[in-house]
This record gives sequence, C-alpha cells and structure tokens, in this order.
Amino acid sequence: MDYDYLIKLLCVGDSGVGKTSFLYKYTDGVFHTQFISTVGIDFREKTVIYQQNSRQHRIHLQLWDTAGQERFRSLTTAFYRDAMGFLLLFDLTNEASFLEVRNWIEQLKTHSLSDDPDIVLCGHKCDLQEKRLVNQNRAREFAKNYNLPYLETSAKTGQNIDRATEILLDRIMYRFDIYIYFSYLEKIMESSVEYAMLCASGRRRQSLQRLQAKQDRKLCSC
Amino acid sequence: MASMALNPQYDAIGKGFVQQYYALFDDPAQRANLANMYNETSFMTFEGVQLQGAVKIMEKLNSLTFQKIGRLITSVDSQPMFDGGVLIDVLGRLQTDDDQPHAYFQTFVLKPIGISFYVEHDMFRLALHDCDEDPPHPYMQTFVLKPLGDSFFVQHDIFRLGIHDVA
Repeated sequence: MDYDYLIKLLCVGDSGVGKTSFLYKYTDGVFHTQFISTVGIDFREKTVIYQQNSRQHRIHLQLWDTAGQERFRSLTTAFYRDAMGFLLLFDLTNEASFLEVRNWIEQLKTHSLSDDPDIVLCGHKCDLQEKRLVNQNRAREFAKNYNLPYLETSAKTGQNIDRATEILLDRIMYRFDIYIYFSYLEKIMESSVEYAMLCASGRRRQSLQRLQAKQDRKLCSC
Repeated sequence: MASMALNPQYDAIGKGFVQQYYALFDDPAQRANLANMYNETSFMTFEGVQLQGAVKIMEKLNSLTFQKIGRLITSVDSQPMFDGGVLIDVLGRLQTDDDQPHAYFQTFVLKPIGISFYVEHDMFRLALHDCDEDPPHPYMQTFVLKPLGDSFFVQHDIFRLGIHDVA
C-alpha cells in the first residue's frame, strides 16, 4: 500500500471503557484485526488523507488495542514502543475509570518516546446520558489541568469518533513539522540534537521563536 | 521434623489441586472460597506485585474486573518437596469475557497442614513478551534455591516451553 506516513496510535484506558468498540467504529466496522499473541497486541489499520495547508498526505494509521491484559495490570513495553499518539478513554458511566486516567497519563509519560506525549482524552459512551456518572465540567476541568484536548465520544452514535482521531493526528503532524523544521535548522546552523530535545519538552513555541531570531541574526551578519 | 518425607503422591496432588483451584477461581459464585486455600503467611506475586496474607490476596483476586473466564490447561508439572510439600508449575491459556486469549504461567507451592495442604506461594504471569521476534519460544523455568553455607544450591528446577496444543 502506498502512503506518505505510517503513524502508530494506541488506544488505552481501563478495561471495559469501550476501546475496541471505539476503534471498530473508527475503522468503519472492520472486524479484521491482527492479533500478535506473544506480545498481546491487537491492531487494525486505516488509510486517511490528511490535508495540511495546500498539501495532501496519505497517512496509514495503525491503531493498537490491548487484548484484555490491562485487567491483569500487564502491559509490556512492546505495547508502548514507537507509539506516536494516544487515545485515552474512560467510561462516562464508570467513575473508577475516570479516576484511573491520572495513572494512565503517568504510564504514557513513562513509556512513550516523549515526556510530553500527544494524548486526546475521550469521555466515552456519552450516549448513555441516564447512566452518566462523570459530568462534563469535571472532565473538562481535569483535561484543562493536564493540557489535554477533551471530547465526549460514543461508538453507538459515532459522535466525535472521527474528530478525536483528527485532533490527535493534527497534534502529531504539528510535532512532525517541528521536527522537520528543526532538522532543517540543524543542517543550516550545524547545531546539535539539543533543539530536537527542546522540541520534545513542550516549550516548542518559545524555542522555535528563539531559533528563528538566532537564525535571522546569523543571516544578517553574512 | 526429619520424618517429613517426599510425598510419593505429588503428581496426583498437583493435578488434583490445579483442577480444584481453578474450578473455584473460574466460578464467580465460588471464587470467595479460594480464601480457604491461603493463610496469613501465604505469598502471592501477581504480575510482579507481591502480596502477603489471605486477606490481601483475596482483595487482589476480587479486584479483577472480568465476569467470565475460560481456561485451558496445557501442562501441570509437579515436584515433591522435602518438607512434604508440592511445587507446581502450570502452563495454560485463559480468556476473560470477550478478550483475546492469553497464555499464562502460574507456580504454586503447597505446604502440608494436617491431612491437607495450603498455598504457601502463588506466582502468576500472563505470557506476554516485549517483542515478537527471535528467539521465538517463550518458556517458563522455576527454581527453588536452598541456602548452603554462605551460598545456595538449586533444590528444584522445572522447565517448560510455552507451547500449547491449540493456536
């Protein structure tokens, strides 16, 4: 299959929050998953066209799902390896799954490539209004504290399923752009990987501005 | 007590125990009765987390969130221990609710108490690995070390490849 980018996304959250049905809905009801039993990973794939400014990219998404081992608190490092972004789900009708979100964020920070990983928080099963136990403001407030985008999703109605993935993709592509820009700058300025490090630490904008100023000065002096 | 000898029935005890233990574990209505198999000194290591005592062990087992559990036992390896106990290694596969099946390993050490046994040690691990590349065979090996002078020797050693009868 032809594509410009291969992006690996992980769907995480407590058991029973609806990760599999979320991914099932997102991949248009494709049941075919590839199960790698030795590492306990289930994944499905989808290719999307991503519009960025005037350019179109074909993005091949690999969506990784757990195979129930989170019930045993048993996720191996292989599961997290090379993941570029995370859909973090909790169940709006299950308060415990919301309280566990904090722990999941810590897990993701520990295991992912960056200490500031791209995460979209999803309050799932929002169609079950009469059973809801986590109100929207509370979840929003929580997400704001962690600087995460928050959406309420439903696999039943399809609400925000595509949107959540798009937002995650936007963040990842933004990060890619910065990486590309930094590596370009590196070539020009023969600077070290320090900039890439800065990029990963969440102070993206300031460091970018600083670099631009630096580069301007350099250009002026020639 | 020197009269505590190797129990010649170790293999039947191991297989019988495993059958009885999982019959209780796999039935939500009976799982609470597992408490009778442990005592206040029993150790459990569940996915790397160590717990001691029947109360803590039952808290752990009761916190597992699945409703149904299906199980296929691939092998039960037992050895007699010098205090009359039995060391048991189980290789099996389990399926919780509608999840994918997972292979697992579990080790028990049974200690004699009166005419019966209690579980002194219980170690559980899903057979999940960090990579699906070479070397391809998962395996389980259990050692029991005994002190010898200022060192140890291996008193028990059980080895089993993690290969199952069905895919």
